[in-house]
Amino acid sequence: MERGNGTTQTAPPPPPAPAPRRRLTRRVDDKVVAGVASGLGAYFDLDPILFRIGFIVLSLAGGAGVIAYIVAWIVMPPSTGEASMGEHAVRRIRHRSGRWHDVPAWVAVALLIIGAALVASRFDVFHPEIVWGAVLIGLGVLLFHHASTARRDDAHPPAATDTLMPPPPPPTPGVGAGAGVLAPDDPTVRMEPAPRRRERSGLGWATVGLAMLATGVAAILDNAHVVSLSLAQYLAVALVIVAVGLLVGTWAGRARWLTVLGVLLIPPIVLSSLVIVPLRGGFGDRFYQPVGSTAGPYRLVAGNMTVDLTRMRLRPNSASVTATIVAGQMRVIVPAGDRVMVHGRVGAGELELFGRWTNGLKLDERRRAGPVTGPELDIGVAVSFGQIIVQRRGGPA
Amino acid sequence: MRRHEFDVWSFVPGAIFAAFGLAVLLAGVDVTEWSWSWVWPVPFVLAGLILLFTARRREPTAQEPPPPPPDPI
Repeated sequence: MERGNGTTQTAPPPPPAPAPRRRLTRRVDDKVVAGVASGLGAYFDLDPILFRIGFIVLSLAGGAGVIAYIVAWIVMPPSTGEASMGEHAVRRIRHRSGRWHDVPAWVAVALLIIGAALVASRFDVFHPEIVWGAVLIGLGVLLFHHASTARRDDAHPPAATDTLMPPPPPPTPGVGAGAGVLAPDDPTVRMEPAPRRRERSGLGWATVGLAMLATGVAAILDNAHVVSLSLAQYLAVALVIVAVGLLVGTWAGRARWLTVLGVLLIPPIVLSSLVIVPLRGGFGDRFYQPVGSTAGPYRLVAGNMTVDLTRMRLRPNSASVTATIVAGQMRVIVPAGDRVMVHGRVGAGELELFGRWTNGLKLDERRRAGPVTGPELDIGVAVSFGQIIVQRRGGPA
Repeated sequence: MRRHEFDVWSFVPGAIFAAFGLAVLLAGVDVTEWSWSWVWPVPFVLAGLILLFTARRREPTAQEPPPPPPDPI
């Protein structure tokens, strides 16, 4: 630069711009589910995979990872500059009540105390209270951070360097930068890169449609007695189609969210393997008192069933009865002096045969009572989820 | 659909779901009779494999050029 004649004076260099405040946001441009782990990784300068594994491990240790993820999803704003879901909710409540401003602080204190008490009460590492306590503490810290940030922002509105500024209005004649309007090329404006939009892929919905189609076709074939499928196998058909969609998405298209669908399908498959009786019979309470030598099958989908066999005619031949419930309680009353053979099965629940009580999964017991010889009353009862009680008239003996 | 790089986050759950679904569908596997002491380590093993795989993919493949020799003057 030149000075004086033929020279120009150099303006002192502007003071260095303050370092942009780092914000904890959900990285919607690099997400697996909601971008929580990516956001945490960017905030702490760590690999997001560490947070993903942390969420998975916490989910396995009592399910806290799922809760923590959902909480973070609610609290963390997206990287696009919009407010978080929690902020939206708080604004709505503030709009209705002006006294809400101080609530997050004491809520956070309460959560911290409860969480610390839970942790202090148990020192077993894998105990659920530890996990839930840690979640509550984390929630409290997040709320503290959130509340303090909100207050700071209220007291000192964020500078232009901190926020993503909308495009400036077109310059008005006579009104320039000195009037407070930032020029588009103002160096103080930090223009965050626009989030990278992924190409939309129809693979996910195509997979869901194919899964529904395959399940329907399987049902038709089952009804036509071409194949014989259990409820678990119906669900397994859908799971296999979801798996195929994910495997296709490994190399082409994008449908990671099918993982959530697959995870949601697994518990019903596990539970349906405990369904050991046909899904027939309707709902409600039933009472049966057969008088012949054969009875049933009596079936119920959900409800309570009482089968009174005291009037069944055993002599001169034996008699049999069958009864099933998908979910509910079954009570069977047998004659006091007859020879009885009971076969009871329970998918998940309790089984009581003449006063002998057991509980658990996949119960299967046979018990004989009464005289050693003579006509026999053969009883077959099954409940998928619930309780079976078989007793003699007037008591369990 | 456009082809893209191998996506481990789609492959691993897809492979698990396929194995589980086919076992239930074709072999009639009863999940309630599984020994859970053998089942619960599996997610940890898979998570570790994903971590190792992802870490390996993040390794820089191109070597930085060597620094220029010092100026003899």
